[in-house]
Order: sequence, then structure tokens, then C-alpha cells
Amino acid sequence: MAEPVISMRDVTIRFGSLVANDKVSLDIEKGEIMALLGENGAGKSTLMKILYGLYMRESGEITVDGKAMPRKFSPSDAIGLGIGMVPQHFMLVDSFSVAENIVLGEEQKASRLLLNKEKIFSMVEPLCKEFGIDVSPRQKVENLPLGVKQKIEILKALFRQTKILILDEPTTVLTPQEVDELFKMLRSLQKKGLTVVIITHKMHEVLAVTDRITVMRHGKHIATFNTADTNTQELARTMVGKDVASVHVEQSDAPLGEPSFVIDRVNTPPSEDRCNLKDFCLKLYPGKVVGVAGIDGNGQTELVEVLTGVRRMHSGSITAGGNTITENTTDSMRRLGIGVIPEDRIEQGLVMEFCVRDNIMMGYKGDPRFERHGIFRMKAVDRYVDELVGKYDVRPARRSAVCRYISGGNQQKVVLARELERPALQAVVASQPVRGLDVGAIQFTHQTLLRLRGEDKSILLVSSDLDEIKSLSDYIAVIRDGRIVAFKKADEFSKDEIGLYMSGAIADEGCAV
Amino acid sequence: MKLSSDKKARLKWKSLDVLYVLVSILLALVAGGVFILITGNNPLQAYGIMFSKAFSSFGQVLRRATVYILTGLAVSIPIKTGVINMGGEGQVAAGALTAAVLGSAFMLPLGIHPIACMLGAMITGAVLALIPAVFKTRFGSSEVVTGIMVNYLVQYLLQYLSMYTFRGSANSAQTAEVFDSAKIARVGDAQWSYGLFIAIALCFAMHFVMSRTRVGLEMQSAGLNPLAARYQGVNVGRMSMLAMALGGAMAGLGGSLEVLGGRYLYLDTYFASYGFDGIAVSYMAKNNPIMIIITAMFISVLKVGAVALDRQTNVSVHFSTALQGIFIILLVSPYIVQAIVAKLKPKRKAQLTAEE
Repeated sequence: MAEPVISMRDVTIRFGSLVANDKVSLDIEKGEIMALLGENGAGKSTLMKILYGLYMRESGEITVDGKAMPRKFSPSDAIGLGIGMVPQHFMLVDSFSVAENIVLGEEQKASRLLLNKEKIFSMVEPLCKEFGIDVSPRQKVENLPLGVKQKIEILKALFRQTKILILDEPTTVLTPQEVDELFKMLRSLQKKGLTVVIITHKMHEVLAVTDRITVMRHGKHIATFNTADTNTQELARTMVGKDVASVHVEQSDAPLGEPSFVIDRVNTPPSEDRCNLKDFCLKLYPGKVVGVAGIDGNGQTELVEVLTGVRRMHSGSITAGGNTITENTTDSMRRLGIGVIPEDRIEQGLVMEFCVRDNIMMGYKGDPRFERHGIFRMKAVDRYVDELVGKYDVRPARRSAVCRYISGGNQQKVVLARELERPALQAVVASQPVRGLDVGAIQFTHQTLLRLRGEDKSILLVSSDLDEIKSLSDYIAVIRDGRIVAFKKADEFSKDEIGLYMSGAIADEGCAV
Repeated sequence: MKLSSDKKARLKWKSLDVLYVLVSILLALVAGGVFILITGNNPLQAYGIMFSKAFSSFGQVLRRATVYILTGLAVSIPIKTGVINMGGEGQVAAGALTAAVLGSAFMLPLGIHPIACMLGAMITGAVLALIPAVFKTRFGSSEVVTGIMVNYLVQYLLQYLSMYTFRGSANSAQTAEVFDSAKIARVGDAQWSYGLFIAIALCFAMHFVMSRTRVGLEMQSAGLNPLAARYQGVNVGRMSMLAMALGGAMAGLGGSLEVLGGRYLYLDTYFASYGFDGIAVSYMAKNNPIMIIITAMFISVLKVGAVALDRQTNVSVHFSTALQGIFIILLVSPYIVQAIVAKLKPKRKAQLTAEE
């Protein structure tokens, strides 16, 4: 075995009372691809941010190339030692060219005082060629696909002579094809002698590309596996700390009946920075889950906003239960019987300073069971909220718990309890319903959706996680540039094919529903 | 079991809040003491004069507090809804003039007259508060800037009205005295009137609205997270207009209570600083309608005491404003006070970390 290029011993860091890293020890060997695997909040990003000089550890030792690091050092010290980090959210200047972005911050390598653009281009060109980026270094970053943007981020690191490359959740925004490309690139970097660390929570990917996998949980180092000797079950168990049964839809071959919910040629006003819906059509069926797959920013957000009623559609109609509406207000959508789980529960789903009860009551405006002339009937309210808190297993089981101080999973349960227990619920729109949740809460959320499927509700699942869509959906629709470009039965729709539709490699099939 | 621990937790928070305010008051007094030292006076003696004056003429304290409570509410209701009412200054004075005019222009039956005056004052205040609110929701202009501008408009308009249109005195810019039928009775022979009870009752009413009604829930959601509120069908713009109108009505009512139960007439510039002090009152109370009763009293004690201080020493009457300022700086920089509160309870802190 090779010499460890990075060795961390008993590294501890606290944020307030939260121990984000608890005596974590980790060796990273030269020339390996290692994955740091763990759920959200397991402390993997934190650990790497300590290594990159973004956080200061409280105790513990770190050696890089045999050299002990002081407790306090800056990212530029880390870069000097050959450590590079590609952040989860890319930090590129849109109006700069590819080459300018790569050189940014290191311009002195190209020129002393005045910027010599030609020299920059000529310096970057071979780098781009070497790693198979087929766009011109002169092109602006603005409109490039996310996969290319990520490669630019990696090149940025390589330009700074990086020997140890850290990637934070690199695949969340990529299509399956782009993920393959990325992994190819990582392997070729490995051949050139680089060490790669991938921070991720996706097990399938780490099995595909890594040499070793380190699992973290609750800020602790749990185990390190050789990729060849492990499998998904073992990894999942180690990640969560207990056996997890994944939730799957049993698909039936029964033909689709009458649609219960029809979105017909909906348009939203175009805006400069966001993708609008263009003649958007989609039908939902009782007892079926329709998954909407697509690269982020292709109209998913707008779709959910239209179905919530916070973004007006300027033409088109929505029909449910025999009622057709052309003006979508929050009230009219609610009358259609839609429950919405918005993509961002903190910003859109909850008032964080409100307690569980108040957040739930927000969803029952004008319900005569809970208010009379606008005054709450507190006894009925409390009784009902207690019932929901029990049914959805919200912890702590107190209606007066302030939502900011309960865990993400429990916050989501509050949203579920409010949205899914409406009288006359017809359809559920769930947007990224498990983003940022721990495994237990993911399971609960998925089971809840499938319970409603069993109760013949129509379910629309919007997610950027293809695995989630594949395992939960009866039908999969692909959204691109504000419209549905493909609609197929889930088990007949391969991941690769979905990816081709997502990226536009297979052309639009029009209103394919 | 569950309920009792729940209550305990809430009590702990409430008591922490109170401790917080108390520590801030103490710190402000210490800092103010330094100022008094600089002016060449003995701080202890000066504070002694202030507080003994405040307690010897407690009726005056209560009379002023009546107005402060309502100008405090005028700030706290909008702020809970996410809008800032900077126009209290104009609203309180305009409400006062309205009440004085309605009270002196004609006679009405005994019970009805003060109510008509108060209602008129509330409408005036509400209309004035709606100006910045409408500008905000329609055109997106800052309600803070418009609110302050409206204050100037109102200030000079009122000056004109009290000097010419409604002038009731040969010597100064003031209206005629209101008829007896419009007056709110004083409590016994004291300086303060039953208006104080109206103000206090409104604090409890507002607390009820905020915690027990749909509209209160919606107003607060609009203030805390307008996006999430919109997702639940709350019309955020309408809520901010409603909150501003309510706030304006409170300030207007405050002005009318001083006219009907205290001064009995409107005198130009008499109400200066009542509106701005309402901001301090609300802020110190953390915008809690019930706590406002206490902080209004506190500000009132400072103001009444400061007058005595001015008379008996060479510490200016504006000293109370300085104290108020220090106090607010302490409240808006929570870390200073938090650090001190934490030091006050080293044992508890150790206990807490041990529990973890």
C-alpha cells in the first residue's frame, strides 16, 4: 500500500453544542479515489472543509505529505500544498470565458501587470484538450451545461497544481451521461497520479468509481471499506446504523384509466433568469405516481409554483374532479384538492418561527371545524394537531415545538401533515420531498406517498434524484425547457434513455402525453 | 407530564427574556451614569432625583404611559407583519387634533361623544398609516422613508390647522377646550384618566388577535416568512396594509386619549417625540403587546424623571433620550447582553454542558 498522503488523527470540531466531527481519523493514500459516504449532516463536508482550511479544528492532528499542519491555516495554504476543492455549488463568473475562469486568481502566471488574454487562452488550451473539454476556452461560461461547468471547476483546481482533488457532492446536478463522463475524467486523473476524494451520499456511484469508501455517521468515522469487498446493503447499513428496507412501487400492468388531473397547455410569462412553462401538458391518474425527471432549472420549479397557485399561468387550464380552472390562485388550487410539498421546506414550506400547531393551521383557512368568525376554536385545533403529530410521528411530540428547533425530517413531517390530511385531497405534488433528509425520514416520506397512492390519489413527484424517481414512479415524464418531452412507463424507461431526453440528445416529442 | 415540561420550558424562555431586558436596563443606567459624571454631577444622586420624582408624581407617569402604550402598539403590530410604521409621530398628533376638533365643535350625548372623538382619531391615524403601506405594496417604495416624509407633511399641516382653521386661543397655536361631554374621567383626583384602561385592554386584545385568530396568524406569517405565507394563500400586501392601518389607529387613539383625558385641547408640537418613543417602547418589549405595558411605564418614568433632573441639576432633559438610545443599542446588539447573562449564570451553563 502506498504512503498516506493525508493523515487526519482525532479531528474534532464543534458548532455550538453540535459536535460536527468527533475524533475523526482518516488516511487518504496517494493515487486513490476515495469516497466519503454519509447522510446529510454526517460531517463529511465539514471534515473536508477543515482540510481545505475553511474551518478551524478544535483538536486533532492533520499531516499532509508528512508535514504537520498547524491548527489554523487558510485555503491558500491548502492550495499551496496541492489541495483543491470543487464546491457543490459552482463558483464561476458567468460573464467570463472558460479560460478566464480557470485562471482567475492566478493571473500572475499569465502576465505581470496587464492581462494578456491571448496568453491566457494559449495556457489553458492544452489543459482543456488533455481532459477532453470540447468547448473553446474563449467561450463564455454562461450558457454551458452543468457537466461542462463542473469540468471547468476541476480544471481550475488542476491549473493550481492540485494533487489532491476534493469534490463535494459532484453528481447532484448531472445527467447520467454526465456522471459517466465525470467518472472517466476522474479515472484519467488518477492515472496521472492525482488523489481524489468524493463527498457523496449516493451509494451506487461510489461503488462505480472508487477504490475505498469511508463511511461517516453523526460526525464519527464508522468504517472504511475496500470498494471491491463491499456492496450496497453493507454500505447502507453502515451509513444509517440499521437495516433499511428501500421503498419500491409495485407496478401493475392494468391499463391507465381516465386521468383524474389534467394540466392542459399551460404557459407562464417568460422571465429573464428562469425557465417558463411552454404549452405544458401532463395528465395524472388515480393511484399512480408520475415522476418528473429533468435537469434542475428546466421548469420544475415553475410547474410546482403554478400548481401551488403562487405563479399565475397566463394561458391553459387545469382540470380535476370535473372542475376546470384557468385562473390559478392558491385558494382555487386548494379547492381542486391539491396538497403541495414544496421543494424548499425552510423557505416555502414553513414559517420557521411558528410552532407546529400554527404551521399546520396555516393550511386550514376557513375550515369551520377549527375557526368561527376568524377566531380559532383552540380545543378543536389542539386536539386535531395532536392527532396529526401522532399520526405523522413528529418529534418532539409537542404541538408547541418551534419548527426551527426540530430536525429537518420532522419539519418535513409537519409539511406532510398539513398538506396531505386535507378533506377532499385529490392530488399530491411533491417537489424534492426528501432533499436533505436522513434515511429514516426519507423512508417515512416515501411510504406516506405510497400510502396515498394506495388510497387512489394522483401523485406528481418532481425530483432531481433519478434513483428516487425510478423506484417510486409508475410513469416517468421528462421535462426540458419548460415542457414535457417524454412520457413512458417507468419500467420501460431506462436511465440512459431518460438521460438522453434530459439533455436534449433525443429531440422533443411534443406534448407526448 | 408532557404539558408540565412544556410549560416549564416556556416559562424558562419568558424569564430569560425578562432577565435580558433587566440586564439591559442596568447596563444602560451604568453607561448613563458615566455621562452624568462627565457633566460634573453625582450619578447616584441624579438617579435618586429622577426616580423619586417619578414616584412622587406617579399620576403623571401613568398619564404619559397611556400614550406610550398605544404608540408602542402602533409599531409592534406592523412590525410583526413585516412592515415598519415610522409615522407614529404624525399619527398620534393628527389623532389628537381630530379628537380635539370633534370634542370642541359640537355637543353629543355623554357616552357617545368621547367614543365619536376616539373613532375619528383612529380613522385619521389609520388613513395616515395607509399612505406608506399603499406606496409599499403598489410601487415597492420603502415604508420607512415614506413614513418619515408623511410625518413632515402632517407636522406642518397640523401647525397650520391649529394656528388658523381650528385656533381656539388668542395666545398660542392651540384648539379650544373640548366640551365636558367629550372628556374621559380622571381617576379620582389624579392626573391620569380611565383612558389608561382602554390602552391596557387594547394590549390584551391585540395579544388575543395575534395568538388566537386567523388574521393574527396570517399577519405574523407575512412578517416572518412572506414566501411561505404566500404558498399558504396569504395575501401579504393586504396583510401589511391591514397591520399598518391598525397601527395607525392605535397611535391616533393614543393622541385622542391624552386630549380627552389629559390636556383637553390640542396644542401644536405638544405631541412631539411620542411617536418615535413608541418605537423604543415596542422594541424593548420585543414587540410583545403585553410587555409593552411594562416598557411604556419604564419610558414614562424616565421622561418624567428627566424633567425633574433638568430642573434640579444641570443634566439636560434630553438625558432620558440618551439613556433610551443606549438602552436600544444594547437590545439590538444581543451578544453583549447575552455574554453578560451567560456570565451571570456560570453554574447553570456548566450544568447544561454536563448534561450533553
